[in-house]
Amino acid sequence: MSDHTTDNSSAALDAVPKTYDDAVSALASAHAGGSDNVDIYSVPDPQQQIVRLIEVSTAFPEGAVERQVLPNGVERVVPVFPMGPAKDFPFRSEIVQVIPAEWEQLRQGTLKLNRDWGDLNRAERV
Amino acid sequence: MASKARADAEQARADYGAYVASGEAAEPALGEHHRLQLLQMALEKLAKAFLYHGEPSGRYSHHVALSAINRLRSHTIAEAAGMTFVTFSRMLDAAKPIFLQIEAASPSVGSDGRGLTREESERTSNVEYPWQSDVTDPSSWIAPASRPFSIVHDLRYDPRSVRAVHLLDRLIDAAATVLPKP
Repeated sequence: MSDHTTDNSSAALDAVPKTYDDAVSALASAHAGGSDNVDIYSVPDPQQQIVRLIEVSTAFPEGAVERQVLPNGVERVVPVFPMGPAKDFPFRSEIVQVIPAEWEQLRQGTLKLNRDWGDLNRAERV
Repeated sequence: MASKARADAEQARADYGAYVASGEAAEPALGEHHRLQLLQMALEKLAKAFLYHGEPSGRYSHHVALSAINRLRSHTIAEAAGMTFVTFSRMLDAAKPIFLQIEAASPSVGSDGRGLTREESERTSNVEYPWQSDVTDPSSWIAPASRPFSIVHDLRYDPRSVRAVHLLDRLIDAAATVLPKP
């Protein structure tokens, strides 16, 4: 019984998403399927070409890092992890992984991503 | 010339190659701690290659392996590693604790992936510098060369650890494929 369930789940994850919404659901499901408890939010791309997910979990390390700002400054940003399409996932993706406190700061605008995703308050829980 | 990310991936390949070559000789050319150090260096460079891909100017000083592993669950990386996404995800999950053990061989990283202070580092086993087992005993320093590391045994005999090292090899290849060229 459990093997059958696993097979179905695996088949779903291996299916090639045909629409943008399918791709968002598929990638979110895949990323939520690990051992960590993860809340996932989608920030829709108006062009429907890039699947943008914000993944929030207490199991993650802090997502923000310091980076140098010329000439002598330092700022904290959350890196976006971009990846190109694959044969079985024909969409580009951009992933952010943060802890809950950072997600609050991102929504309040006191912390920022290193790419412009627009207003993060329009993120939709997947 | 290469981007910071691709340069780290290239160095990861060189470190991993040295690890493999050092294990192929009939007579051991390196101590176990030195071989483990090569593997730890390869893992660190691979992890930083993917992290620099996200933010080339970022300062990554702690939880380097874990931060990278969590971001690798990608169809594109799976494809570049020659696996289906589902198989790749399972292998990543299985390899994660092994990678964390390898990472902890570094003198600057604790067993939980956290960055260590100098004082903590001097009391924590690692493959590079002597550590003190009892801070009240000035004669309790231990050289890495004098101490076996249990992960080394696992890397040779435990199938899950062996698969993790093979996954590292494939991930280094995948990095060279998926990381953009400047």
